[in-house]
Amino acid sequence: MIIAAGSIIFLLAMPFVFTGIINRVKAFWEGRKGAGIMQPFFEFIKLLQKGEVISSSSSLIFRLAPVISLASVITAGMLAPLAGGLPLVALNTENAGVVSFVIFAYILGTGRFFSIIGAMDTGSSFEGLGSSREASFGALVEPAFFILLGTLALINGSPSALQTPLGSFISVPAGPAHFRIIITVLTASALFIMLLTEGCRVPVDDPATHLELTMVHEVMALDNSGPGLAFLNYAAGMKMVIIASIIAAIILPPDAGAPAALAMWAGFEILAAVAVGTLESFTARLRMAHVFQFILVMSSLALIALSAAGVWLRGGLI
Amino acid sequence: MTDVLFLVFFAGFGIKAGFFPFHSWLPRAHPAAPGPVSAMMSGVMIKTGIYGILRMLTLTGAPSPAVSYIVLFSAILSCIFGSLYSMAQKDLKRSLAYCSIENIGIIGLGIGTGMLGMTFGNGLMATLGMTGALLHILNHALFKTQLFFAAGSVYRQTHTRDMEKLGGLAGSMPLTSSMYLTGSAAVSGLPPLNGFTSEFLIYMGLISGLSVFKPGTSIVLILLIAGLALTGALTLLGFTRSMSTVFLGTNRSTPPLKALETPLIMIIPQVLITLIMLFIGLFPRYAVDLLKPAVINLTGQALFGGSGRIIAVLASVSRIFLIFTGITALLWIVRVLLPGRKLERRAPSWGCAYPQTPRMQYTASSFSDPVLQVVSRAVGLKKEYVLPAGIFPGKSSIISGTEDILDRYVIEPGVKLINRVLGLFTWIQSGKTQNYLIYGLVFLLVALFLVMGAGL
Repeated sequence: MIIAAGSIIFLLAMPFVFTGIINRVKAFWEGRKGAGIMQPFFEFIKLLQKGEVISSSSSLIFRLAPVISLASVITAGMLAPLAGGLPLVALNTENAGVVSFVIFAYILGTGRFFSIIGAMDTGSSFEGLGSSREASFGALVEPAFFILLGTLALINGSPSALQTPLGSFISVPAGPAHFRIIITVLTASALFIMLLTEGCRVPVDDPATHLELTMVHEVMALDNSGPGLAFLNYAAGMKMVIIASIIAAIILPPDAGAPAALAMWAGFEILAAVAVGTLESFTARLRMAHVFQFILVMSSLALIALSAAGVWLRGGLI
Repeated sequence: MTDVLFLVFFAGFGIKAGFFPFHSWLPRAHPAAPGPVSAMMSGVMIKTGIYGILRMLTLTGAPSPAVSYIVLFSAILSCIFGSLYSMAQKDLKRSLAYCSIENIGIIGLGIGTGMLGMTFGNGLMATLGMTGALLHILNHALFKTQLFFAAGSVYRQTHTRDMEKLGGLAGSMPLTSSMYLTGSAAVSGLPPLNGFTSEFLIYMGLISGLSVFKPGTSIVLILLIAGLALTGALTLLGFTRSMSTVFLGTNRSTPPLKALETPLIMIIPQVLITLIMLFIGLFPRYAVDLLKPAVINLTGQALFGGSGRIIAVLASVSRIFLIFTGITALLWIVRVLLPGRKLERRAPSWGCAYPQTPRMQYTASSFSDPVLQVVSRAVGLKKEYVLPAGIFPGKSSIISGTEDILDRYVIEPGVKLINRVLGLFTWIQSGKTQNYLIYGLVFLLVALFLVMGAGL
């Protein structure tokens, strides 16, 4: 019960903190004082009170897109392992872990579908640019994500182990230390690339630039204002929190008590936000052609993890 | 021996169904027909090929693993190439035809999963695979009919199928565009529509095979899962592309095409299809129950994993969809009730303070370009540039296009070869009746000698 209540607060409040910390860390490295950590929350409230400017070439889809986008991320968040590694909604089935991740990916896909057509609805060339890239990156990230899931399902062994709910399922099980380390490092780094891609951070996308031909997410929200923009920004932050939480479920021990688990997860989120902010301060955004290579690194990591899992199951190379 | 027999029949029926690499005829035939006929061809006709394959399966029984892998391999190639070529087309109906190849691939993936389950005696996997395949046959028939109907309406009102000339039809044809939207959401496998349900069953089938077999098999299954995920993402790209270039933004033709909404009689069937799709998506148990006898017929009573378990899973999936729908509705209400609602106003899209013209919009080709660049060899991507040069640059242009590599490197040379060989015998066809009479006479004489020879 504590975990469930904690998870709901975690899911709804953490996006603001996460974005706030990233901005604060960036300010620190730039030698500025920076805005308070809760600044994204105040901006969210401010945007909600504003009026909206609707593109005159758009249809109902433009208004609908931010709503569906946010709803899809919230629903996906309920399926992901949150604080303590337990999801808010668990499936009652064999293989519940992987199976709910299939739904997770497709519900996020629904959000992506609507955010793309919502941006295309404005008839702006900038937004076409962003939408096209968003869809292309999605096409590269999705298969790699499924390979990672398959790998985790594979090493979690016998079919009976698959019946446990998602939380304990996604962790790396007991076994030879070197295999555990290899697989943990590979899956965690692949998912971190996914976090940067889905969260539209440097080196894939630069949230600080406006009206540059290099942008993805920022340019898709170019014509959104007021509540629509608030929803889209909130959804982007929540996506990062969810993916960071999946990474936490892989790395952190699965069976800590309720308060400890909540504290550990919150700590991990803060660490992840610091990492994103630091990375953003010290690296430049990649050229578009190189972004594809960067995302394909995720697929390679996933494939190496899969091979490692195969070797583990065979009990050695020979 | 039964393996060879099955493979021969698989190839034969595969041509009918449009499996890669036997699909070449399909994207030529389907767009040429009027909308409703295309719907019939893609929705129903190519499924006779699938029916043939399933019938053969009931005759030959569980095949060897090698055959299952061949079916799975051909299916995943159909999926990936179908979705890639689908998003490379500029012709709306041709794009839908390639999408049919992709969906035949998904059905094949279900059948292959079921076959693998049958071979290894894994009842759950066999049941999930076959149920998924059969349900996807029904689902594809529904959403592809919907899409072809909507595309047919667009063609009827605008007289073009070229996506680069369309755009902004949502304003003038709101009903048709919302029908195309539901169709594309369903084909992209988005919950809570029906397309997700069948793909989900196939995913579950593949997952239930993990860890039960040897690591090698499991790795193949994981790669198939990733392939299916890739297909889903590519389909999403393809259909956001066609939806947004045909119906959203502003019209790309000069002067803008004037389209009117189609008569209601053309919309009503599409509304019916939408309702059925929603019903299957939200309450899949009825469809699964309906398929039960057919699945038992394929897997055999002994292997049948019981539809009860599948229905229980689907019920908990439906619950998640209800949560999703509920959150969406709630957020929409919040958005409408917000105080800023009264301050809302309309303005042109932001274009860096320059006026935006319809020609400045992203086109269908540019939308799919980033992915097509990555796989440029496989889709035969070609671009011809005329670049601006000199102090007073003249007109510059770019022509881009793609081609089906199978057509280019296999079918066309093959047809040429056949033509050349058969060309050696053209002298026989002289066109003179007298010569043909002599052929007849010679034939009769030879026949006579043969009969006489047999009697000697």
